[in-house]
Amino acid sequence: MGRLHAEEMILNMGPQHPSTHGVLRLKLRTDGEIVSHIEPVIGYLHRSFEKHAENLEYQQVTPFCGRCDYLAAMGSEHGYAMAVEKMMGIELPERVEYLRVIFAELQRIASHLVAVGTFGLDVGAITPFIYCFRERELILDLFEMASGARLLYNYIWIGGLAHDIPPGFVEKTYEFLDNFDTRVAEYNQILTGNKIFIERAADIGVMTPEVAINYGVTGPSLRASGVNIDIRRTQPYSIYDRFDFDVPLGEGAQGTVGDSWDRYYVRVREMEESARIIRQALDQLPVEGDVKSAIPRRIRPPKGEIYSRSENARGELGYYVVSNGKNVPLRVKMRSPAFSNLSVINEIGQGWMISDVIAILGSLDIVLGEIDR
Amino acid sequence: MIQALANWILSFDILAGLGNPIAWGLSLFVVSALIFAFVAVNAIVLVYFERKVSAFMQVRLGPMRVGKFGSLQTVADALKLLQKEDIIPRSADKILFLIGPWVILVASVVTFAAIPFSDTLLAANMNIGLFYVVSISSIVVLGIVMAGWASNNKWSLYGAMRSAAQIISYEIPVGITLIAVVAVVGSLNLQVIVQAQGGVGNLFHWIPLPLPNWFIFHNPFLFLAAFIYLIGATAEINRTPFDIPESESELVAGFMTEYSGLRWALFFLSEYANATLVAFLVSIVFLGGWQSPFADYAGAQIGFLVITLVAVMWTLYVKAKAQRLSIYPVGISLVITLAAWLFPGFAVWLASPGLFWMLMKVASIIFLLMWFRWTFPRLRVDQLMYVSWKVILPISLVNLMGVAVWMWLTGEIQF
Amino acid sequence: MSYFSNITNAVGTLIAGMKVTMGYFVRPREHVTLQYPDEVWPIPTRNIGVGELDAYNTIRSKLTVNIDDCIGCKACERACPVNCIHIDTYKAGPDDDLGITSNGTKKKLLTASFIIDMSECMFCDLCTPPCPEKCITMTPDYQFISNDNLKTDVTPEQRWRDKNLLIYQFSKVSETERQRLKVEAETAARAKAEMMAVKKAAAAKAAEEKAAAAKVAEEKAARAAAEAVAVSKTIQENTKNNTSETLAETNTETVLVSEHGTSAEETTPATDTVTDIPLESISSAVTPEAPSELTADTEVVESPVDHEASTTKESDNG
Repeated sequence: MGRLHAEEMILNMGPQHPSTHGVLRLKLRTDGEIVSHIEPVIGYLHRSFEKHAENLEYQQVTPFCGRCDYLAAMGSEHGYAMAVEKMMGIELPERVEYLRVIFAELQRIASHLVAVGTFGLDVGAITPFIYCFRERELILDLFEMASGARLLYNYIWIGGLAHDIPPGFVEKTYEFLDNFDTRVAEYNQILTGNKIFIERAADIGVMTPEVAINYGVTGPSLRASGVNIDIRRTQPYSIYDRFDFDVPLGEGAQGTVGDSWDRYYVRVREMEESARIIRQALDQLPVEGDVKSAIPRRIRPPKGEIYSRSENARGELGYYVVSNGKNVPLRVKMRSPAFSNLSVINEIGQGWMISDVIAILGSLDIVLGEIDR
Repeated sequence: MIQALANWILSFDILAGLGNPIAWGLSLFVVSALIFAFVAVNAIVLVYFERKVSAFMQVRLGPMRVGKFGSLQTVADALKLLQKEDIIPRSADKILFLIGPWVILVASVVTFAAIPFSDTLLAANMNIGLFYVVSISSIVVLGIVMAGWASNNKWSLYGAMRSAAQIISYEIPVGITLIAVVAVVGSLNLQVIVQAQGGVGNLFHWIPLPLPNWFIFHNPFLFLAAFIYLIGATAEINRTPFDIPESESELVAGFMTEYSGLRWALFFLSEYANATLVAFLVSIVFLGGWQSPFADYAGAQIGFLVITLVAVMWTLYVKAKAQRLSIYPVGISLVITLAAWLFPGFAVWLASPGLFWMLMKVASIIFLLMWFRWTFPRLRVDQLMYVSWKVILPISLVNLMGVAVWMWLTGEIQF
Repeated sequence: MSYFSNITNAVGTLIAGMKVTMGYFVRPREHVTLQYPDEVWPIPTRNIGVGELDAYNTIRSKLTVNIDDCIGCKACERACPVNCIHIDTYKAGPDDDLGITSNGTKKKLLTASFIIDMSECMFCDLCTPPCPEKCITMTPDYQFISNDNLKTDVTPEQRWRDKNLLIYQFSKVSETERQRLKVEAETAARAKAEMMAVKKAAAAKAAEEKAAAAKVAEEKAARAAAEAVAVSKTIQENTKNNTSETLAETNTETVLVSEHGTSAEETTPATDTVTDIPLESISSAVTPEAPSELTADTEVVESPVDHEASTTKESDNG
């Protein structure tokens, strides 16, 4: 009898796979169930956003921004609009700033609801996902009321908003926020505290602060590692310095700081904080003000370049815009948070099982549209 | 039942000339056809049931468009599956790939031969019935490994390997908990096991709470054993939270990944046949099988009155806490209670043993399994092994000892 | 001990989860499913104060044009990021009366073809604000893959596959009329171009003799200007960095800058683009076609239909 021949197996996860959140392909080197190396292969959703932007007028780029991070389109538009406004030195009316914050934070809740729900789905809990989507639909209703679209809005324009909010919007938002706390409690009951869920998520894929910073991880995934960086707090843009909110950090309540459970739970708590911000913004919202008054007649930023950062649902979303003084940008570069967040997967996913790699991937909350652009 | 059917066939003058062996063969054929029909119809009904249960738990409606409340949806789906192309991958091991699903199906269907549906409805009254059911149902793993290996797909292979490890691990605690019951009855015959659970007695023999003489209420250890068996059986039939062989978010579809059409439908059929089998075993071994929970006519009336009172009080309590609650459960129990008090015949029927009670118990167990499935996340493969070898197995062993000591203390067995 | 507390904790939390699902199971009133074709989602409606169209921009779906109000200014075509609007306009003859729009603007251009390709549209709503007449709107009609849509003799399957069924022609001009207009405009343009060519050739001849002495210096200046343009061109157009193409562009640029180019190069662009003759090439004097970016640029600068301007105009009217 000859020696048993054993070798590592290459397993192709994706691009058609239920848990790769789109069309990501992971090349796993596996020894039985243990994964020894992960190589993410991206580009299956490449739509050449940056090249498009070089051939479109400034305002025409906005809808394409939303199409990059399609789960947080309002945040993407907000970041782009801020970059161009900074170049042109536009002063926005108060009402526009408040509405933008309201929409960006509602979008953050909607995006985190998807993240939380799909993470549950990745570890096998189907029902919480449906509950999360039920609440997300309510937010999309609000967006539909305001902008007329449910997913890709093109609502935040350079220098203002496409339309003012319709009557009844504020009341409906308050109503949503009032119910939202009990819903979060429900998620905590069915998923967060669930022993099986904790077993699947706690201590899995621990990301130390050093690793997170080295790889440029941002957003909730970074804060789950205990690093207190939130651009809304450290470099307040828009009017975030006027609101009272906490920056949730990973505490390792069920395991180590920076594990998958922490990344999940930071998102759950961020939803609550976002709800707080929205409530304050609604309370302070100026009644008067024309949301279109600051929209420039011709968008021709002066020659120069700018890098503008904002805290989108997935992390630091940066726009690097170069203008040559014409009505078409010379270059628009997008710093996509999910791209950096995904790159860390080999570092934190090595040595875990296939099931854990899926859980870790789910906890990083990637959007392939933004990674491939 | 086969004997009875053969005698019945022979009682016809025209058929009597056929002779005994042919009558036997004919009745065997009829009985197996009946069992297969039961399994097939059962799967269709249960898929509908599962969809509706999952939908209601997930604030959805489920299938609504084919037939009234979507009741014909699963029939339509079954027809669609039959028409679909049976794709065989080029690099698959063709023979194993083709027979794999059939092995699984046969293994799960033939176990129903020993299941007593009621006091008379029983295909084969075997004196080793329990042993037969447990042993035959573990052939399923063979079919799963065949299907997974023959598909020549890495995901299928993972599914098959996980399944083999899982089913074999959970056979042991499941077998041990069943042995605890066998120790009480002293027989492996399922019919005898059911018959031993008739009537009403005190809880655990000494707590003055009149409950049916089911083994789950026989002693504290068997009470625990029932739940251990349920957990182990859930793992054995690959349902959530132990559905790692076909975990869809990890292994795409596990060992079923490469299958399509009829063969894929066979996996589904056997999956639901297995779930039903487990439900039958739980109700036979622990919940008194076809025995009615009520000893007599008055028992049925009083029993349902108590149930209704408890339901009403609970509803009032929940409403007092200003929480939302449906009144449908209370309404249904109220209607049954009124019927039992107004129509004595109904109460008599409720108190008499039979197929109705058997199916009610099976349905409840299956509902419980669905409830698990649509609530819990999935365990990881090593955690699954941990639960099996380090939690359930020790508890079941202690339980077996406990049952023996209990029997000795209460004087049911002497040395 | 932690072994047992672990087990009890597990059982407790699992039961807590089961309570939630059972809670929803017994409360069918909270179910959120909508039986789509029977029930429909309440579409949020509002009037954001544009014209009499109450439903203007409620939800953004099918693009519709009220062609009676269209003046053919092509503002929407320029605003579209994905080029899904295609408009052909022809100048009305001196004795043609095209009527007035509901705003009272006199129509000067005949919109012979107004095509919206809904299979390309991305529902961004950038085309509606620039419209000076508010005649292009996004309607809440989200079910436009419907039976009463266009041809009735196609099956739903075909409708999904056939892209052409999503291309809407809004203009009321008949197909034969459109062809006739096209040919007419074509011949007119050709005649004009020829006339201009003859004129220019004569002018060039005169200029040649006149500026024979200064010619060398002039050429030098032209080359320097062309180089400067070429540099900016290559940055903008790095997709098609074909050397021959850039060379050709530099040539046309030279012509543009020096204003005394040879006549052969000038006539070609106008005759090449017979299918889609730009408005400017007919109405104004025939000038050589500059590269697309430059035209787009100049058009925006000269555009009278900037939406800010249009809203102010409207308020003046009302």
